[in-house]
Amino acid sequence: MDDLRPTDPARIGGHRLLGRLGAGGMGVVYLGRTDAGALAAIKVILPEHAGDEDFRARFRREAEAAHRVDSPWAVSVTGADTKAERPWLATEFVPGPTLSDVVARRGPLPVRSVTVLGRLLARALAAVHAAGLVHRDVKPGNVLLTASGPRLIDFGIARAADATALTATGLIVGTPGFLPPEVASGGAGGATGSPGAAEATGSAGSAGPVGPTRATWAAGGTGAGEHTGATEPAEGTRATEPAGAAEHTGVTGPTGGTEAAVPAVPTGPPGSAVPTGPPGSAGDVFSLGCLLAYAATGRPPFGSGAVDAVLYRTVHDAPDLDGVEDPGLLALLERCLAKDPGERPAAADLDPLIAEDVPAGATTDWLPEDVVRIIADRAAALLALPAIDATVAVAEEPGPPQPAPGRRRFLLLAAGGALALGGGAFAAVRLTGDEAESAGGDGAPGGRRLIVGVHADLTGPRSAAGRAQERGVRLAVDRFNSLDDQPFRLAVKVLDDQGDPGRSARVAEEFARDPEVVAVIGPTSDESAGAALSAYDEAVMPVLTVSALQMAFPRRANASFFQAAPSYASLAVPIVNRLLLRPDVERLGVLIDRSGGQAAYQSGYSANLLTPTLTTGTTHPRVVPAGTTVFDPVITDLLTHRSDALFYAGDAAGAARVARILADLSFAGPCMAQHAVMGPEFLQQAGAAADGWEFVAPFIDATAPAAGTFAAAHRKRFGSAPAAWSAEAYDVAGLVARELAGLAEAAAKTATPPGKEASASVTPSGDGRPTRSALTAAIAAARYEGVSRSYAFDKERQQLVSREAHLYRVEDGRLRYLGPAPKPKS
Amino acid sequence: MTCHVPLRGGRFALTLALAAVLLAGCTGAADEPGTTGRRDASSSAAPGTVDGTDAEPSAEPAKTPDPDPARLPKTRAAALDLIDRVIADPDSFGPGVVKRSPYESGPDTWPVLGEDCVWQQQKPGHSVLATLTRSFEVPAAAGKGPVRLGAVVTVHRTRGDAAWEMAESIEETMRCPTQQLREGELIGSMVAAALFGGEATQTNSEDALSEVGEYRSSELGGPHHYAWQQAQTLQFTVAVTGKGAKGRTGDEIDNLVVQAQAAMLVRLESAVEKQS
Repeated sequence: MDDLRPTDPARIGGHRLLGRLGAGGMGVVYLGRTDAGALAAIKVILPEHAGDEDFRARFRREAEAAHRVDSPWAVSVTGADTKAERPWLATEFVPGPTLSDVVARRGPLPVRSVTVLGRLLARALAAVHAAGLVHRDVKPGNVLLTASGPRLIDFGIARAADATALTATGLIVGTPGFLPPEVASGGAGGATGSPGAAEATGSAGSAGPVGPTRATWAAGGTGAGEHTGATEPAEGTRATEPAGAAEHTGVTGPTGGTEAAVPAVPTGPPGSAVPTGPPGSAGDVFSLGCLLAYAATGRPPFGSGAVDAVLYRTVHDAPDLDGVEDPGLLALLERCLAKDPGERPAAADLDPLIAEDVPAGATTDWLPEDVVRIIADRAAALLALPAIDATVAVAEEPGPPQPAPGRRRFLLLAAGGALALGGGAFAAVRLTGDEAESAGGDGAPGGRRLIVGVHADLTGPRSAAGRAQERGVRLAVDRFNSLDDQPFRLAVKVLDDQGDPGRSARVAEEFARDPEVVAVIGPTSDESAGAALSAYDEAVMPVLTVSALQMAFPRRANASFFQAAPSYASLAVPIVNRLLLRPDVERLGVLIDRSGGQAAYQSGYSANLLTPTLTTGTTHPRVVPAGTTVFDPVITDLLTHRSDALFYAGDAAGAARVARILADLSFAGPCMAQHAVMGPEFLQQAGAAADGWEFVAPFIDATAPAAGTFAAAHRKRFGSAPAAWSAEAYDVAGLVARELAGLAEAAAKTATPPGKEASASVTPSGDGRPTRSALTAAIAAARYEGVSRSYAFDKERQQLVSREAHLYRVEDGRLRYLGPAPKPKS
Repeated sequence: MTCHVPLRGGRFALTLALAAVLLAGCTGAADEPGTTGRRDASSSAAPGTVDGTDAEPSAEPAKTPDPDPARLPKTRAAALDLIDRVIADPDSFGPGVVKRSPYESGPDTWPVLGEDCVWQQQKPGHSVLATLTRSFEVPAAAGKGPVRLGAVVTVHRTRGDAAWEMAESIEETMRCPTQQLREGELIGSMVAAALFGGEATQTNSEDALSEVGEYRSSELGGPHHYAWQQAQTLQFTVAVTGKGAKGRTGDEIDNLVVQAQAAMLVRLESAVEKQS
């Protein structure tokens, strides 16, 4: 990464810029950080393109489409402003090396790694295609590797415009060596002949039903007609765009390669729901084949060297797959590398072609260990940035001076839990290294002991969440204790409030009285949290709840209560985005069933309030009293008022009734319910009517790639996959442990204890033992990357700044994790 | 108080007085003659099987007075008699509040919020046994405009009917963030909170709505503070509204509203509870 230049802005769209990641024809890509602490790659469009209204329109459409790309294996778009003076688009920043970096450094990857790579990238491409986009530049340099899986980057955004710019010069969009023949043929024409030939060829490509996309790709269009050349190609990614063939009257046929005339998409008129992807998507599959061949052999399958020669070989020669021994992989590559686009499988159909023993999700061992090390090093180098919390730096790097060995190793783990870096894999080793019950024991030999309390509903209505949280905290404490040289050991003390507010207050008092307890994770429910607040606040006890989601709790003098989860109102943001940021929805029916109590009220009310703010859509709100069992009239009313999507805020029984009624009415629009509905009761009572219902939840799923390391450790320790809410408790306990370690270390280095401001200190310690108030202050200022999300708290109310949440859908009667919930439009 | 829901980079912050209202754990209230209350905007959804059906434990009314069935009105006359004993009078608000003319409206009119977000007067529906609205004011004083106040008590035939009125009141604020009370009078930027008895600090009624917003009128200018509270217990709803004016603080208005609402709820309880 390069330093910022004097002419670079300091901030863009709520990001503080940290450096330049790269620059290209369309603009500059910066590394930035949001106020919440999340890193992002921000592509800022150059002024000359920003002034082009056609370009802006395309950029906006593609940014919107990119928002819909929904895959853990494709980097997600976190924001965009297509109306700004300098339009920009931000994606999550993945601090990993590219596939090309890795192969260049260590040579080809083993078959298993390539196969996993193929499966996951195929899914990423399928998601890109499902969003109506075509990537058009699938290559090793556009795939980032992390310990938990690959990430496809740079999918199509603004490249269409690149095409516009490049078309005029007869150049090619994409990277020779990874281009499909239908594109390479156009380029080959250009490379070997006159610019006019290239133009004609390219336009020929667009003359088929494939249309505009191919025109873009084939760098054509200018010869076809001045009126369309500049703008038509870039529009081509829209599946709804009629093929531009008719406009290209000046073109009669291909001159560079016969393949150019072959439709990339064999079936379906433009605009119809073609399951195989938008026009041009077959080209992406070919490029994927090139990429996988490169990963397996270390060589591009059509060689390197002079561009025109590479393009010629792409069009005319068989790929060089020497050295690919595995028959399954070989067959897969040959299918993808078919010259005829129609013979290639769609990205979405690649899965069954890949050996069955390859896991559906990446596991941490999908890459050989030396590659994991490269990833870790690379992440460390990338993250050795100014103003990035030291805690994110993976420690293997000589880089910035690190305090002490113990601390450094801890930092490594902190990073590991967070970013699915190489560190994640190391953490897993330690984590699963059977450190047994140090938690709850009396701590380390000779060391001091601090206690983290778990205030949970273990036997009441939310006992499933409470128990999951207890396990999460235990794992985090185990992890901490497994490290050498810690200044202290942690233990866990668990108290059950049974979900009863009265008991909750007594639990809080007991924790407050125990001088060894430095922080509490919990309580589980809104009601319990409300009841416990005053006792905790008096004791300046840092309390972090991950499942009390009420929009606000009464403010208390010592501000030691942290809501480490998105509130009901925050969750409404991705809900609204998911339901309305799609072409077929204009009006959201919002149904508040007051059987769902305060949670339902706040969720439904927020969704209703936010819809006109976040989208151009409208709502039709309805409310029914608690105990309502007959929903037919209200559903009829919602549909009569042309609701084409529904958000139900209530309880599981009501949701099931509503789902059944909607199914009977063959309602086709998207339906969501608040996450409290998720669970067997809804699935059983709704039966087949539950299929397709979606949920935005604060908790990550065990199958999520980001949770891979954690889930493995959980299975090892407890013999089962982590339940909902476990990872979140693990995260905040990890945050607490990290801050405690920091305080203890600072105290050890200075004569004065860190908690000098701690008037209400419970443990007046000459031994540098962190006080509750010092810990409260440290947590308030902390930024922490967890398994489920990043954690940082707003100064005023100690609520989570990030609104990261998770998306689930019912498929075949089961809940399936879809990935992070859609991020808000900026 | 506001609750900020920061969107990306704090591009905009949604202020939700909702949080505040929830925390305040207030009581309920009403409006002005005629136009005031929030009611039955959509009788399309038939009042259903609310009575006696169970709800989530968390949502279950925690505070249901133990009524004497014999004291629950079953006729219009009995309902009017009860309303007369329960509805606020000037003293219910505290000192300095006087009757406004016309003082009473109803029992034959019922305000309905139309699809166009304009309040209209209609005949009460079948579920309404009786309803009465009174209007009050704190007269204008040096540098201060008049505070217009209203109180409404409604007796429904069943508790389920009253629960539907509460549901419809919530719908009204969701559907129409800006409402025209009458020609020249608008309320807007409204946010409403709803608390069952037992939720947060709400212990006065089975269900309580609180709404705050901005009030504008051709006569008094604005925006001024607007507050409305409505509570439901058994088959009854009681409501109070307060509209600010020049030189009046939001707290002043809120206090007036809370006072009268609490007074009516106490009277209601004593009007129906078992007598020892």
